[in-house]
Amino acid sequence: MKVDVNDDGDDVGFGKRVDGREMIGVGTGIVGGEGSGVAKEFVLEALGASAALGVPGEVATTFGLFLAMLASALVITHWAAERQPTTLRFFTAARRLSGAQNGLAIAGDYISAASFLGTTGAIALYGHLGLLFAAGFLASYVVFGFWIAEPVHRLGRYSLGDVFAARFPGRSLRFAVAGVQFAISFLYLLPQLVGSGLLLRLLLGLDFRVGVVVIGLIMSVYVAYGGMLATSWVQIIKTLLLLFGSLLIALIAVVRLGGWAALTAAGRSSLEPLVPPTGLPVDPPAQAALLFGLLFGTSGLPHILQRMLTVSSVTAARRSVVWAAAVIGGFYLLALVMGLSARGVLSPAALSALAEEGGNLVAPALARAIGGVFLFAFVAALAFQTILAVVTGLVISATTALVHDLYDHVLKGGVADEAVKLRLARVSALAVGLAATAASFGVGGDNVAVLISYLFVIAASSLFPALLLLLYWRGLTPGGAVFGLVGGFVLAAVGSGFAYGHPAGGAWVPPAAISAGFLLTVVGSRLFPGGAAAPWPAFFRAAHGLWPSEKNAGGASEANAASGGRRSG
Amino acid sequence: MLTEGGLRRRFWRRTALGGAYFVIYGGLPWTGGRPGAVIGVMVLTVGLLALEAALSGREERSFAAAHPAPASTGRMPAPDGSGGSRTD
Repeated sequence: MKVDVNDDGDDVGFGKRVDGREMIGVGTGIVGGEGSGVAKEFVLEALGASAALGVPGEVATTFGLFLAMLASALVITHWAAERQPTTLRFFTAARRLSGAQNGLAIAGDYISAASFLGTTGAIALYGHLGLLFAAGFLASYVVFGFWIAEPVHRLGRYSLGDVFAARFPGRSLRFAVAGVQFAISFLYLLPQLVGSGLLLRLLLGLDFRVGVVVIGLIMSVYVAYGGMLATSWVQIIKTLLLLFGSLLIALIAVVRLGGWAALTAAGRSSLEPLVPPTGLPVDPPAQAALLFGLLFGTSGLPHILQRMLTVSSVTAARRSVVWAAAVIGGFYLLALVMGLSARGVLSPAALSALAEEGGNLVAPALARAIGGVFLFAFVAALAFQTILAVVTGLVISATTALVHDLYDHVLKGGVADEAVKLRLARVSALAVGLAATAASFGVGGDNVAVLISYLFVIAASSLFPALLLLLYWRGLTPGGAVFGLVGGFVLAAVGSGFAYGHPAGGAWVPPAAISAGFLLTVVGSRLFPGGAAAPWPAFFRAAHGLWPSEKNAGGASEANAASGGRRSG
Repeated sequence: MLTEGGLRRRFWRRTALGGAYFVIYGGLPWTGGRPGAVIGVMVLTVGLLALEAALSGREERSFAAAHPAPASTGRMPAPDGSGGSRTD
């Protein structure tokens, strides 16, 4: 992409060469400095590629913080590994987290590279379009909290497959659910790992692939030995540190710019895009279509759904959604301040250079500009911890689908040996992590938030329609659920492929794919009637917490069968 | 747990609140890119969830005060004995 920084119709962007170096335009600003043209590698150096600069003090600072984060997570993992001799503890932390703890962990799962790196960059570069993205991600918690979270908690024990099996105990549906859960978790891992590679390239001057391998290996070891308990605590601590770090940057930036009025002036208050948005729609109807897709994505994300199984009660599940939304919302407001600050602090040319990188490095660059090496290193280490926390949650989700659903229930009929299952879970976590690491090499440096939005659409078109109809529609059949799950997944994946190359028309992919997911599930239920199923009244009572009154008390045993009888582990 | 009537009221309350929220949320692209509008919807999101959680919690506490605990909560204990003593 060429960036016309001077707006004179001439390509002042990448591609021109001076003294043998690729050129970009650079105006005035703290990072870019004075000048009309600086080589791309100069800008990267100015943004903080400390290893490339070769300053021992900077390298020591970044390595020191990097290792401190790593060591703290390892301590947690070791602590957790000593406390999980059962698969229940490995997959769900023994369902003993409180609402606040789980809410912070959900936020840790959710505030990913897309949020910390992508959204801050998107707000700085694309203005209100980036902010719309953030609103969409947050709004999805209304759907999740109102209609999905509580029944999932009531019905599930280890996995999402258990939730579906509460009504349809057959193996084919569990196989389909596990397959889709694994695929979404695995695909979601890829942009996260790409973000980690970009980050480590900036932080330590590591080659992109080396950075991805480092993160991939660490996350695999964490999950294999620490399970859900370690993952949860890594996510909780990461959330607290991230909020602290973001608040610190925001405060310093506002003071540096001369107060809130100066900040909004720097952001031009109307938040017009600084560079042409890549992968984002610009006309309101298309934006509304994209917002529609984001609205339902969270309710189909398996790693978020699985977090509803880690608390002890429905009340705690409900509280955890409120906590998560409050923390995520607070973070997005800080991301707004950081994005606005970046507009005031970084030069237009530096922002153009960052846009060329997909906008993912705006936050670390801002930290470098306003707080020097230490703040930069702190923020970069935080971002590293952020990605680590998210990818561990995804690996847990993928591992649960493989071991609990596919191995135990589909292959072994739900009677797998506990010790074998636990051992297999750890091996699978390693395998999933390594496979995702290798696969992420094929994903480029596109804006991580855009890539994540495609995964949102896929989740919203496959798992979400099937789950919502499972919980609220009597007419659903196992065949219909399988048809909708697989069909919705394939259609959304194809549609996202189209959207990747056609941002304008691609905005209509989310509503089309989600509608298709519902339609396929309904049509499939008509085409494939029958199949083993728990009685609807009993399932409904178990899913929604309906009191077994005198009128329907006769179905108590059915309710028990629907909600707990098949959860033998 | 709730009675059938209580559950129905809760469902329609959430549907009404959620529907109104979606109308406001869906109008964001037509606000001319004003940050205040987006921030307002974000605050509304968290407020709505907190309000609904408070209302649901109050309903359940009222219900628990008026009804004895059922003999079975419908949840089987885990193999290690955890997770089986829920009262929700």
